[in-house]
Amino acid sequence: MGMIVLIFAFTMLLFFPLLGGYVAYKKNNSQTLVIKQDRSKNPRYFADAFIKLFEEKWINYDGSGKLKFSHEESIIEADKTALYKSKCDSVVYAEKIDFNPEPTGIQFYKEIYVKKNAYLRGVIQLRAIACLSNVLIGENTEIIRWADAQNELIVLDNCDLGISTTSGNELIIGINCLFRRLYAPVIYIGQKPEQKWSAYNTIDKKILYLVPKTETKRNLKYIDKFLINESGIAEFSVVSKRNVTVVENIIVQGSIRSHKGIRICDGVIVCGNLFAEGNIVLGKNVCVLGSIFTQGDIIVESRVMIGQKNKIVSIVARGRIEFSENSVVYGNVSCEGGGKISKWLE
Amino acid sequence: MGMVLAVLKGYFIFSIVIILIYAFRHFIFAYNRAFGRQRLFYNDIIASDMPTISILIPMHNEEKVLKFALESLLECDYDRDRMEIIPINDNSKDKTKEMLDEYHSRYHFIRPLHRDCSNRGKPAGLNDAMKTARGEIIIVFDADYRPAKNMLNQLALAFLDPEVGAVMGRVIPYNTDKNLLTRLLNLERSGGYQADQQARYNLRLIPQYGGTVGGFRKSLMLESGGFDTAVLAEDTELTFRLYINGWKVVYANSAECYEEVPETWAVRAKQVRRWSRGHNSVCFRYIIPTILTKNMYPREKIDGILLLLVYAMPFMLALALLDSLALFFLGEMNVWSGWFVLLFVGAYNTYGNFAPFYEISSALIIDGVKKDVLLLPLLTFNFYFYLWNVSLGFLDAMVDLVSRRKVKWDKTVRFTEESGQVV
Repeated sequence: MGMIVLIFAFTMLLFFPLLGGYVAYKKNNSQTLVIKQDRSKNPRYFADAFIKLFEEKWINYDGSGKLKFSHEESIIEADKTALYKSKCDSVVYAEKIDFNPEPTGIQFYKEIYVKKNAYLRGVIQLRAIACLSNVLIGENTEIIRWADAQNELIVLDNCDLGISTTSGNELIIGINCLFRRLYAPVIYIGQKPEQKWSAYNTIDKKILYLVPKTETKRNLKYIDKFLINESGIAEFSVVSKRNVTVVENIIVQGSIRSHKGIRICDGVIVCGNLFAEGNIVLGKNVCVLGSIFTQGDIIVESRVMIGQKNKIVSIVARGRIEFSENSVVYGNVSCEGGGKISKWLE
Repeated sequence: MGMVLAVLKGYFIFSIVIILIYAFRHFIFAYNRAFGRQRLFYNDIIASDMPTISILIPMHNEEKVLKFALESLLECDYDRDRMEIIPINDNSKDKTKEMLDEYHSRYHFIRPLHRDCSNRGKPAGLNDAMKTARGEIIIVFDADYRPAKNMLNQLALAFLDPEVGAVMGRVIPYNTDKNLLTRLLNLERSGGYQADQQARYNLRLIPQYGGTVGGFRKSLMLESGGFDTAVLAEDTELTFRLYINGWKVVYANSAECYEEVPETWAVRAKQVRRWSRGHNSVCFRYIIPTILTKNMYPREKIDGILLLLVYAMPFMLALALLDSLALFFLGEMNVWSGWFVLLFVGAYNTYGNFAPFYEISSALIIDGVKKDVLLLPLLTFNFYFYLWNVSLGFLDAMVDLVSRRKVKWDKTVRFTEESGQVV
């Protein structure tokens, strides 16, 4: 009897998982994983999607002060509003006027959509703003989600730029600002609108037309004067297991890939891309004409130019990105660990 | 007799140790994917200077599906001045040729290559197409695949990194609801890509180029003589050729593409046997160079060796099962004593395909299809199925090695007549 029980128990234990699997197979239908076939990279996606949604809903707006998005939201028409509550929890829509909310010290908890210009001096906090013209964000403003301007977006000092700050034309950001993603054809970082700097005006334009070389030297530690031609150009790319340092005032006509970190010293021009597993440090007056990508952090010193006019490049870090004042990026900045713009201290 | 017993016991211990190594490897991959630091892929990069690409699509009698692949590619957001599509019409007997010529008349960048020769097969077709391709990067799709709009961009971005020799995207079965086999293959694909490939990318090991939904630098292939038409696993061969020469393969988990998986056990058996034969022939050729090369880190070498031996494992395991039976009937299965018991218990806990269960479970949870975890015990069928068919493939490869016979390329049977209607 004991043996029979033992055999029965053994058989049950052996087949029980299979039985469970079979029941699950019969009971649950298969779920094919969904691939979004029409997905396309759009750095200004937040604003574009919001504007599209808003315009669709606004056509049927009945003037009730309510508009239904995923759920019902109250709407404030800025064209008819003079003063705002200090804590505004409505979606704000400014159609025919420049948006210049008063008094100071307002917190906007919902999205703002402006068709003309927006001047947000004295706003403490806003969730998101989409603007079809220019935006000025005053000092000490905190953006929770995103900000986008079709034309020029100016951010003064000491702001937190939330998840994404983008522009269809130009982005100017002051010092002591925090960010996660920035995108614009040209981004002036740590600068003021009245005195914008870019090395593009002073750089020898011939350098912009140098085609990056694909011939590769491996495992270099330094790119120095012993590796350059009579024009001061290192005509190769580098792939290295080691930390790579490019010494001052050299032109690298290629890309650099390091399994550790990369240090680009003052005055260097790199015509290609930089890729690293560790940290990348760009010294003063450095130009990188290609993209920069690292699994570590990126530290950018003063008067650095990344990319060039009429081309989009990216500076992407798995960790943090720290800019000093007076730099310029043509394109896209993205970091998972958070970014910061600081005053340059020698 | 004493010597025979010693050999039998020695092999038994050896096989248990090997199983434990693989189990540990699977556990590490699963843990890394579930809890570890995920390495960033390049898809946050936006760049206007992208490489020129040539998209190669091997085709053999594909009149019913080719339009879906081509129409999907035409929808892609890659700059058309920087891309061309080369469908490789490999000795088709249906209307593939006429249809491709019609596409060519409408789109100048679709340039079909018609092959009408005895030397057919994917590697030979790719070699011919590469000679006429204008792009710096070759991207390969199968004829029934439907790439998403941004897929070309995601794959091509990887080549901005000067060290990347090849990139691999993720394939997702679309005919999962057909029967038990397709459900189980869906689990395997999920574990294989979402967990295994991504973990290898995270840990900077060897993500494998899979032959389709991926790309490579044309110059590297042409310089090294193109694909070897005598190798059935040209994808594995390319992976190791690249690593041994100091290049890397990267995995793009978000570059997803639908594929069809076999719907009958007979077709799956044939496919697995062919993979095993090809993979093992690559193993014989590359295992020594992998050990000796100075271009790979030790961690890459270890992963590379384990990867090369993956399709030899079922044969070794089958021998170990026979070995254990022999020991049992000889009354020498005295493994329940001392430290030996640890190995025994460990091996049984990771028996066969139980080890990848960690990876499949992690992958299913990440993919958001938790209910499918309940199907895992049914993979036991696959374990014995693979044990047999992969072992046959291993023996095929051994015979190939010894006899130097010529391999023949077979296309996997398609089940969906018009894949566009399924997805």
